[in-house]
Amino acid sequence: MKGYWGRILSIDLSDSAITAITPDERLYRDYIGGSGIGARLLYDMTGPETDPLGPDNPIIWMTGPFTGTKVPTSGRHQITSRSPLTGIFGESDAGGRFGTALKRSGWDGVIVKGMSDKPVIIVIRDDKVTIEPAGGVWGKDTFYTDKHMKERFGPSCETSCIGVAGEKLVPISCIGHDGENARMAGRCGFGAVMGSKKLKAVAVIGNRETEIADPERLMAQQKKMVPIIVEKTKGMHLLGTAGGTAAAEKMGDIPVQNWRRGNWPDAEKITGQVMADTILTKNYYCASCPIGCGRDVEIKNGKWAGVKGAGPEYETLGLMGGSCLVNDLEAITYAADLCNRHGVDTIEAGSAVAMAMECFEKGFLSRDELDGINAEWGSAEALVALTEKICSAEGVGKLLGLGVAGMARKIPGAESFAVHVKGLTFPAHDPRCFNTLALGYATSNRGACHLSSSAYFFEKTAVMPEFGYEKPRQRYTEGGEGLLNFHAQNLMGLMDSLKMCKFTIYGGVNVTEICEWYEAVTGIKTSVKEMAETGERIFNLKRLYNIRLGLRRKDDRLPERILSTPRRDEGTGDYTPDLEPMLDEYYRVRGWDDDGVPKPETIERLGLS
Amino acid sequence: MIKLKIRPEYAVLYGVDESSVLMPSAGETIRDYVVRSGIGKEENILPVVNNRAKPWDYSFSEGDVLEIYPMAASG
Ligand code: SF4
Repeated sequence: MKGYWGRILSIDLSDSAITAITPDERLYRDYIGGSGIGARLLYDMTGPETDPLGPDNPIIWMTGPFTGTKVPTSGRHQITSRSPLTGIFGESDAGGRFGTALKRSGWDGVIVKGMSDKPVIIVIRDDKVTIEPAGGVWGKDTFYTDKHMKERFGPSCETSCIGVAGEKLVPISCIGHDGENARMAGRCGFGAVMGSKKLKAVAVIGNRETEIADPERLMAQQKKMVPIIVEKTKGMHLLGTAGGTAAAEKMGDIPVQNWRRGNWPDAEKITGQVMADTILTKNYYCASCPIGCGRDVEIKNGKWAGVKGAGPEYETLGLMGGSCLVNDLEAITYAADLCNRHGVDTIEAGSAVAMAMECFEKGFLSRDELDGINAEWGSAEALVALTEKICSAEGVGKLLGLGVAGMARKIPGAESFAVHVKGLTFPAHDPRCFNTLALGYATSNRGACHLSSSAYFFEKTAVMPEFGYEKPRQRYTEGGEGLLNFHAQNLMGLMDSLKMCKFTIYGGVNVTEICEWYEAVTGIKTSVKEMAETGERIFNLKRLYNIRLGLRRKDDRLPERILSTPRRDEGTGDYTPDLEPMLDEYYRVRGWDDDGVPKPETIERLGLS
Repeated sequence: MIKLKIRPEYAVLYGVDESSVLMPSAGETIRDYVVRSGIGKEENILPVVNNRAKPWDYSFSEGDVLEIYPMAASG
């Protein structure tokens, strides 16, 4: 089997046992890698009784067959664990260079379970694997930790690490990579999983390359596709994900004032264009990426001076900007930088600040309860001050660090404006703007996730000709949301397993190209149908994980604010999603019963019995 | 008369000079206009008419203001 090492590293921090697992080839065939194998391992290793912050909850770093190869945008890895934020299936994808280094160390992935008594780091130097005292990096931020590891182990060392927020078990904490370039595995609170194990960092130094089945075929495919990808994603290269900010406001996609209204002309002040004209210093490229959507920025002067590193993504601008009505790009950049250093998800942090602002306005949280912070809408100072509190887990930061679902549990009356699904807050895309996104959020296995189906890509510019979507779907077309989500979720799960950036879809990549790359890398003959079914298997396995925890149709919900409050802007008018008929169609297409449980014949067909 | 505004970020991205672009006509759909004017590809454009994102089969009326936004991907 080419494209893999055929072995996964397993480390138990309770007894320092280090072992190599050599899975059956079937695991690689059926679940591919990344998200798929991570989900299978998690399903097999945990049960409903597993405490997300206990020793029995593993945290799994997985690469895919494409990681470490020249397949465009394949420098990615997946982290899987039971989420301490939501209590359900959790996973998070990250770019950067760590995945490539892990693959080059001769391992397809690393499973860490157990719990250490003292802070430790794991060091993987090809076959030499050690558990070492964390020493001076415990208590330090992600930028420092990454830099320190490079100084200690050499410039090719790549690190997956937590900041102080993860050490303090903040539920919205996350895992950082690439130091100040901050490629974060942001979602699902995995910083706290590492913190609970007293695991500060996994440092990897790898110098090997997996064997490719057909290098010439891979090269030919590169030559064909890279220029197309580069041409079609020119906007992302020049303006980053933030390039869509002004258009998102016009369409009614960006959240405004904690998702309660539409227009926000101040979006003009925080666009990718403004960033490019002011603080942008250069592009950042994840490994093997020809697009380079990442932003490197620097703020040299003024109130928010001192930032040097990753600039804010669209999601961050949407939540810390639009949702808080903060129109100060430098203040948002500063707050995001705090999150990156401390290892906090900017989506959850921005959402928590917006919710705190609404609580302050409504009298649910007083200025005293907010540690004296004047949390008025639009206050850049309040955004930064509250973010500092979250990052340090001090004072009111302990409340906000629970995320919006956790805040709603603590603040009577606040659930009506807590915007989340299954405990995970919304990214900066509004399901009142794309009805397929409404269904995608409701049914995503990790909670409100725009990347699990990315169905809205196919209402903007993307196509899936192999599944009959020759042209982008018109927004608000009625019917067919279930079928589109079915195909899109299966495709995204597949990409998360092979490890490819989903932005290649905007670059014209589809299942046909994916099959071509898969065959060239692994030498395994495949087809569009087989790949789609693999994506379907992976999605259903994650669903079954949550079914085992008791989740059903009642949990495939959207928040009250979204269902009952139209944005009333020029982009979306009075539209609110009518979820029930969409769920009916979706369950039918998926082969699930009316309560959202996969039927026995579906389980059988997908080999999940 | 229909007014055309090209957002600066679109103009920079795709090298379009607003002053030399053909104007839309009443009765014409956005899709037909984009093809006729050669202003760019459907997949790269978010068409906004009178401040509102519009579908590609929208037909212009006199007095409309068409703005061309880049349909840059966003997260
Ligand atoms: S497109 Fe952006 S996020 Fe995706 S791999 Fe490239 S640099 Fe990373």
